[in-house]
Amino acid sequence: MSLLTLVDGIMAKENLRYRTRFWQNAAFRAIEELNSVTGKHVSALIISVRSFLFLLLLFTLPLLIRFVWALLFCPVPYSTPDEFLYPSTGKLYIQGLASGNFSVFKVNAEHPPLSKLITALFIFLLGPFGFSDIGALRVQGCFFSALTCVFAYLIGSRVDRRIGILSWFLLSFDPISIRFALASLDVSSLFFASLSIYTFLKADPNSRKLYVLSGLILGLATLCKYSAFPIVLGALTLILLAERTPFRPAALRISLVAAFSLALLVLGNPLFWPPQLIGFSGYGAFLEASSRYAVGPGGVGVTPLDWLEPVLKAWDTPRALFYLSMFGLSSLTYPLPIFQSSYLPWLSLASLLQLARRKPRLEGLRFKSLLWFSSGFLFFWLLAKSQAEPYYSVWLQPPLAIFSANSIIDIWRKVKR
Amino acid sequence: MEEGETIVSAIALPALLLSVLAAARLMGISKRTASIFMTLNATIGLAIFSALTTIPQLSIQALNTLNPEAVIVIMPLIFTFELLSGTYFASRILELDYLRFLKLTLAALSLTLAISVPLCLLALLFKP
Repeated sequence: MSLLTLVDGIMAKENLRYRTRFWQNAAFRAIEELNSVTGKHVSALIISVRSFLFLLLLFTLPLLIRFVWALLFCPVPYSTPDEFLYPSTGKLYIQGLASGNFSVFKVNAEHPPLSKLITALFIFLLGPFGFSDIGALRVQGCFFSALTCVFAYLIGSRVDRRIGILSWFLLSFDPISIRFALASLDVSSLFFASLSIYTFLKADPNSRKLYVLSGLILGLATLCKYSAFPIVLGALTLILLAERTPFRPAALRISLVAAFSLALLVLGNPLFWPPQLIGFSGYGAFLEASSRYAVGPGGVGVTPLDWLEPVLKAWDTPRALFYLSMFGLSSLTYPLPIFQSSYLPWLSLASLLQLARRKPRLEGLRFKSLLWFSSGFLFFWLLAKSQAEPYYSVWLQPPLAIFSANSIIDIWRKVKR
Repeated sequence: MEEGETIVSAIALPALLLSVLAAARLMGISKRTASIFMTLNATIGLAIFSALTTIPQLSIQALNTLNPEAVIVIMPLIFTFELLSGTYFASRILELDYLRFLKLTLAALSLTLAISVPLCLLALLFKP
């Protein structure tokens, strides 16, 4: 009896194994037939649909968080005069382009036009649904800020999926990124800048295509805000230096990125077109608008390197020597309140101190994200300091999120071991 | 003085970059190592001090309201703190010799002053 039961059991198992194999084979044959009919690879399609739905989820959650803040809790207006200026300027640009009147680009000429044109597109798309101009501008900011979270995931998951997920999580819930998702110019530019860096990191050293693409995307970022160009180019240069890429290939890659981004900037901004074409000196209008933009204590732009004025003023006093110490000015302190408003700088600083204590080799994505952060951080400190607004700190958050996520996963791995 | 300030920035930043490279060459340090080190040095020094500004007594508002005599005492202290902490942590992270790279930092800053002060004065003198 027991022998019969055993035989029955074995047969049942074999039957199950055969049926499983049969159904697997049948499913495989069915997919192959479908592939031959449709000319597509269905299993790859299933995977890509799954990945798409996953990315959609990664996009939707930060978008909803930003919507709740921007459309329900944030006062209207929040950022003046930007929230009034950019929608109206965007619509004016569209009218000017439609009628061939390029003089409209003299308005708000200190900033490039792409982000404002995208604002006009959002107003056109969302206006019929009852969105005000400011509402549409805020939707644009939330949209690009949420997309940047997705790119933080994509950049992080190039090394480890857990790093990608944690980078996305840290950036999605970051108070600075949520609060300043309304800074449409910066947030739109930051999205393209992140995409440009992602493309650059993905590029095959032997192929030039992705470097050209990275340059073109950087051109789009620069067409939203000029500060994207030095920050991204600085980050890419530092990454190539850290990778110890030989001089010639490194110079070629940087030149490709810089040349194509500048070409797109010139093509995309009518202010840089020849005066014969637009009927006035666009470059002159740009310079005039930019010179008016100087702000600071005395209405002038002071950077930490502008130390000579106090020296000359206090030449016959003992303070001259102090002022001549170059960085001994009060503008030495970094004005962006990133440590007051977000947990990401704290996490990153703790990771850095941990790195210094344990001395593990700093390499890979962790090193690259730190250099990306350095590029943005030093740009705002050295050059744009006197004009720095609190919302500029959104530029620092994606590399900080990736660096922190990388460090946390690394520590977690060591603890697990 | 606006134009003067623009001139100073335009001269001092390239002078700083060139000084780092020149000091590195004189000390036999590779340009790559020196560039990465100086970048991390400045970033970490500034980041640590930025974190300290969350303490109310050291907040940016409190520092901005100091009288000139106190500024003369405190600002060089802050700068020295940033320089030493940045150099220490950057050299630890990059596994470099702390004292050698402290020398590099000091040499680069001194060279920047030596190059840019006469140039700035000349530029301001001949400014149209």
